[in-house]
Amino acid sequence: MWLHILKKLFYVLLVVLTTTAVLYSVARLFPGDPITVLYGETAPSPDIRKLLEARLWLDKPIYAQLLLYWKRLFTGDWGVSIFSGEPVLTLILRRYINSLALALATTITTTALCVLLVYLSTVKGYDKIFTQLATVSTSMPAVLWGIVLMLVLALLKMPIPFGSIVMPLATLTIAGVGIFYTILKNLIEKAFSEPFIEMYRAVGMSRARLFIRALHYAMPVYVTAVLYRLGLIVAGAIATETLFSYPGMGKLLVDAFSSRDYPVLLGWSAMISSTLALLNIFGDLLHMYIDPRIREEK
Amino acid sequence: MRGLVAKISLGIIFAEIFLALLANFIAPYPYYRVDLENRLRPPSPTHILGTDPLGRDVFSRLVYALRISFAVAILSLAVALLIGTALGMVSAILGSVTDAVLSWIFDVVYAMPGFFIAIAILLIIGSGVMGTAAAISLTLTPIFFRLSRSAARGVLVKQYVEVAKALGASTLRIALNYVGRELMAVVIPAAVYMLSDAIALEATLGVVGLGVNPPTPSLGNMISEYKDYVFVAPWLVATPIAIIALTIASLNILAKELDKKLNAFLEAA
Repeated sequence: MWLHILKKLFYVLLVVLTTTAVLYSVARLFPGDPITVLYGETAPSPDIRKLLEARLWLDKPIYAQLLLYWKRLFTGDWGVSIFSGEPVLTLILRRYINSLALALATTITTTALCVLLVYLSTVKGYDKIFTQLATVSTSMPAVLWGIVLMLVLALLKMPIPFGSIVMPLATLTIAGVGIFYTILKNLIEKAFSEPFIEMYRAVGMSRARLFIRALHYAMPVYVTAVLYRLGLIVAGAIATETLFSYPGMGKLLVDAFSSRDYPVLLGWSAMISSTLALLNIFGDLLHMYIDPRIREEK
Repeated sequence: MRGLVAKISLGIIFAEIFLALLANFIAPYPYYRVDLENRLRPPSPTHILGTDPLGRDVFSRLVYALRISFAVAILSLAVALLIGTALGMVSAILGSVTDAVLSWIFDVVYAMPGFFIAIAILLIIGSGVMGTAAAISLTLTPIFFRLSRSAARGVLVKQYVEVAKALGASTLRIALNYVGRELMAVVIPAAVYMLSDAIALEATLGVVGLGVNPPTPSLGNMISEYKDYVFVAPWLVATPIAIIALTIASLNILAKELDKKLNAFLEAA
């Protein structure tokens, strides 16, 4: 088992190194001289230019630059943002915490809502309506639900709370419920056809208690799906965060892109690629914890 | 009931493609014509869907937006399908080092969120119609690669392929005649699903202001331009959203139907 984790950790390292390498080369090989970007059209004197080039390692070949960058990546010095002059690491960490809060809150609301809806549909028999609603929920990308919410608030003559967690949370929950309702309902239905549930039913358990047993059975697969989405929200609520000016990783990416802030873009990709890969490992561990069969296999 | 829903979906998609193709005949005004005297007019007989903050006719813009959005989606889908499926087949047939390298590259791409990949591409190519199409197609390519690679591996171990190999069929012949043909049943329904993904991605990029550049209208950037007017003129943003939702839902229904029909056909054959 430890070997398995070690292998995965090595994979994390590989993913981080590749993504930063690709992005670094893109940043260096494509038009735009960093010094002109930094100092505008007023060209500094040749001496100063030389000094700056040495400081940005522009006097070295690109592979040496990349090696130096990797060294700095692991010593925690991620450079400063070209746009604001703030150290990249502190900037990213601040945004990261906001995104993590959004992702966790979304996971909790979505899961709670899904369990409730699946309970109502499988135990109480409201299946038809919810399945239709789930189709509606999945037929639009998340950010468009955000705009629908804006429209609703506008029609109700209510102010739109920009910058707060409320709107992105509501948006991502609406967009996520459809997917997870379908996943969880299929899992629970599969559980209900298993012999062990038949046995519990024969013993005389109520439908509600059977549901809890089935839920336990469905958990491992559901959790894996949720973790995958959690990572995507940390990274990928990009459009939704930007729409509502929520200061998370997504908005950071769009801002860094618009101002061609390469140190921030590089830091962003390192942070996100490692998060996604680590979540993957965490998912495996959690899976093992919830599902004893896998624990024994490994 | 199911058949009827699928027919309606097909009708919607055909109607949209018809509008998109004949945009220059259908649009009552040029999409770029500014009329500052008639700004933010609600829907009326002269402007069926009203006018926007610059007095442009929303219906005309919408018809052209359909053209641009469908063109971007179909173009990016076609590129992703060709490259992804071809590489997936090559990977499955050649195996060994080629397979390892290709799989590794696409795993890394696939591990990153699609939107980030799209932004990296936009950094290189620059936004605009071509940049957006390239960005979308790269995010879709790994999916086609994985799909066709695993399907092709499944075909390669089938008995009739073994027989063909034993009879001395060349690798190319096996690739095109056997693997390629069976891949169609997997790739075509997936492509219809992906078309809805491509449309959604264009819309998402547009809303953030990264996709097709205004004044060229696309469904995404129309939403981005009009979203600030939800309080004054909510109908402006409502129409493109409704169209996107309708398109995606129809495409998903069609893909499901197509999947069923193709599988039934293959099992019968």
